[in-house]
Amino acid sequence: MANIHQKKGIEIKLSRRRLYFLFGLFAVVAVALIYFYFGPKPVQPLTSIQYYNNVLNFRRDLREASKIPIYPDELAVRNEIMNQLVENVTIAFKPASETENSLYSLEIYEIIPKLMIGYSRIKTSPHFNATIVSSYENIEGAIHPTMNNPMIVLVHPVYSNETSVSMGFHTIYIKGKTAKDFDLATIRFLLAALDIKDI
Amino acid sequence: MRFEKLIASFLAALMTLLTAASPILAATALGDFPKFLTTTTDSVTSLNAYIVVGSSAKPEDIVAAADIAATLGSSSSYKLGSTTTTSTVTGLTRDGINVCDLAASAATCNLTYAATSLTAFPIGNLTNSHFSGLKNSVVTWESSDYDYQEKVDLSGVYMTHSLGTDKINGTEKLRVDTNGKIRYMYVFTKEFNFTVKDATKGTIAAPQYTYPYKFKLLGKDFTLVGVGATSIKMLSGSTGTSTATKAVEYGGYKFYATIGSTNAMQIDVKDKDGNAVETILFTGITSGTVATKSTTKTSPILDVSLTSFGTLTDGTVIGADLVVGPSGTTTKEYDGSADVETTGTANDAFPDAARWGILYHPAGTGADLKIPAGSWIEVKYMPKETEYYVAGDSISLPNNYATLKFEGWNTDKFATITVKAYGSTNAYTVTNKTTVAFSDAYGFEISSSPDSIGSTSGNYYEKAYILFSPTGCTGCASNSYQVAVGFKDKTSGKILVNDKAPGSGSDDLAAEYKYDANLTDPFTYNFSLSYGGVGENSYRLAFSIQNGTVLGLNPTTVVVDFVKAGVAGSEKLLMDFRIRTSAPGNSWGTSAPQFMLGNTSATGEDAEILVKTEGTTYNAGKKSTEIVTDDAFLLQSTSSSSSSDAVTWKIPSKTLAVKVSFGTPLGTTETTGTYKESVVITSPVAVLDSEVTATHKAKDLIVVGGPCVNTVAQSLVDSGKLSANYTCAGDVLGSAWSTDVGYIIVVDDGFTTGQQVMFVAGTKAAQTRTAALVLQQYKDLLAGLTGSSYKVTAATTAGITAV
Repeated sequence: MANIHQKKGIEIKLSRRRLYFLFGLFAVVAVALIYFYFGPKPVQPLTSIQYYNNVLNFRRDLREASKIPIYPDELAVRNEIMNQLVENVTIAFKPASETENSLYSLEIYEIIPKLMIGYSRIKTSPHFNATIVSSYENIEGAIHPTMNNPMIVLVHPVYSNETSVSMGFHTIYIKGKTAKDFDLATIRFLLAALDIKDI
Repeated sequence: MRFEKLIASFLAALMTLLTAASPILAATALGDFPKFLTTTTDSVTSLNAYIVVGSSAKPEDIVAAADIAATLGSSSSYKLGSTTTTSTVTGLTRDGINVCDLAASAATCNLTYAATSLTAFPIGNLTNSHFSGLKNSVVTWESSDYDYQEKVDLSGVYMTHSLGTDKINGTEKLRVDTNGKIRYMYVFTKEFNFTVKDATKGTIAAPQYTYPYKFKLLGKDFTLVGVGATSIKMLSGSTGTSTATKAVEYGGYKFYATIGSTNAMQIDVKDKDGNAVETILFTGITSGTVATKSTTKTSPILDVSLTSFGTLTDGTVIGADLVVGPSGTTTKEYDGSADVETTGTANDAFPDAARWGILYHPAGTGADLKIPAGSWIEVKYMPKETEYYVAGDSISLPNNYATLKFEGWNTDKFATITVKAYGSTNAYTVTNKTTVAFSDAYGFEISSSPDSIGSTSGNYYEKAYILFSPTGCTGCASNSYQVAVGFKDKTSGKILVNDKAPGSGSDDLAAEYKYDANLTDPFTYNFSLSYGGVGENSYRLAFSIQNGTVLGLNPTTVVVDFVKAGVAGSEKLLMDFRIRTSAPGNSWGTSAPQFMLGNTSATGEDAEILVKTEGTTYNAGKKSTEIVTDDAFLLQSTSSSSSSDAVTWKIPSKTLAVKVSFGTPLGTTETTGTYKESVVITSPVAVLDSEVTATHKAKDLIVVGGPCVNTVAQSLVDSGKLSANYTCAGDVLGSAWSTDVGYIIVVDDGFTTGQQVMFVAGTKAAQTRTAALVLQQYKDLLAGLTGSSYKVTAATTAGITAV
């Protein structure tokens, strides 16, 4: 009888090169896993924020909105709209088409209740009214806003080629190039008016 | 089979029960708007609804949206329930301020003083907790909140009724001295510092005009531009935005900004009739900095400060922010004094309130640029001479910001008491009311209205008497007199006295019908006076009559004082009644003694009535005014009554106290005590109908616009939750839609059980807006509506009818 030597298990023969390759592959997977679990996460949209005792919810990402340019600066906008001398706020808009007008409603529902929370903090309760204008040209001269009756002008994307918040004489313009930008500009205005920072 | 029957029976019973119960599960009532759209968590009530806007909207729908948004925003409080109380003032009403019995200058006579268990004004300052018109709030400036509080100090105001002081003359009056006893304060509870924005701007010498601190003093616009160690600089005067057609007015003049450019502005000045007075031209100016010019043709000379402006390229003025006021005051420095006497720039008067001066009071050590925490700007009242206010009078703070009013007494129920010399008369026996006990008797009558004269037995009468008989007592000593206490019997109309008179030779000891046949000792009788016999307090009316030779030689004194304080020497009203007839000698003879007030009959004399006010006794026999005594009863004009040998005064139904209020007079009765709950709107309240998802439908919805413009409205119809008659098919409205009508309909369980859908729509956009206006006035127009579906033709009560 021949003495047969039996080996148990499996033998794998790897060349050194192949071994390096496997180690490299393993390291890449490990790094990927570590990065996935512990690395920086994609930024989630921030749509809610604590405002004193209230949680304010917005239609869009606040961080994105905070990048919208505001002229001349946040303080000027806030001083104009959020002070105790304000007795009435007029919101002016130029109608777009029937299918696009609803965007104004969304912004108005966003602006008024949130401003009112701000006003309640400083113990004032101005009235709000909306007015239809046929043109944005010379709108300040037509409406004659005052320190007690500042005006917010909503400029629909169909009339705007920029996204911004800017000021005129006792007037604040909110403009958006797209519906989303219009939302963001509205939120940018509210962030300034309510003095919400550190987003 | 039996089991199936059982199930069938059970289901039938269940259906019957549900059918019977369904009327009980009443639909949501529109009168509960907006409460049914809210949810309460941890005592915080917030809106639990989304507003669904139709993707198609007319411009009027947008305007309506603003109305609804404002409605929901302003519904931060609403009535949940109420208790009815009566008030004539929104603010602090104090009913229970003492009628002071000390010298008027004593601190305890001020408004804070009150007897135990009575309320008075707080010893400290009045604040928002006493009158909501006084703010306790914040001003936001350069990203920071600056807390402030408005306070009013009335501690120097006091009530007085001194008879010895001119202009008071015994009448209850509220006294305001000349040196600022009414003080309004705007208190900076947090330090304010201009350096946060710019360390070089915000001093007296270098004001901060670009980023000033805007605030209101007494509700009037002021702008703080500079702070020094002991003074501040403010823009003040008549403030507003002027255009070519809208004026800022001051002192009867109107200031119009008629034409301008980026660096120039023309202001036309007109008088109250619209006549041109002069033109003021500002040149080389920049919006955001302050330029001041003076008028030359107005009287007085006025300053016009231009702080900000906007113009169009054609010269049209969008607006020019002006401050107009007396020369030197529109940009004015205020120090620690409130000078209202000096004319010119030193005058610190509040705009349009010449006797109210403004001052700055830094807390601790003041410094440039900053107002230390606890500092205040004060506006205080400095009348030219001491002022006195009678009941019903009031003092208004500048700008009618609040009113201090002497409302009057704490009661309007008084019994009128009169004591007078009386006779001749007959008096009858108590037993049979027919036998004459005293005939041709003289003495005193005490009358009251209502019946307020109490006997020693505790019975109350309209009229009581002290009567002297003309006949001496048989068998009595020769110098003895018969005297009896009598009461008017209303049934018989007769005066009744004791049965033993006349001449029985012994006293009747009946408790209340006191009789003395042998007046050798002083005769005394203490009536008690109480309003209608049920007054809160009882007073003592004490008769003390001397005997023998004393009678006729010395005054017979009638004393009135409180029973509670009824000790000798505490009398607050003394009436000097004397015998008018000749001295009786040792016997009566044939006539009873007759009485008069003072030394001379039917003549008013100063000393015949003595009264004590604020601790001092004064002669009061010839006074034409009502005099308040230290024990708080009211001596009536003596100049008329004393000449008829009578004295009249009033006793109150309750402990007399003063009622003073501070706040906003209403002039009418109002319901207060309403319990309110906060509604905070924090959600992204609006979504387009195209954006609505199951998440939205899980909450209450406010659907704005009809089914032709809002697909969510149509889906309600399609699901059968809203009648098919409300449908919109091919832009054609269903039969439920009347012409020119708006609708407000609440659909219970619209998309989710327990959640409501409120449907606000109109046949045209204008009607949608009318419906929105109804929601805006929900407190007036919807309160009490029990139905859930209503038509709206006008934003009036009559314009809302159930569908």
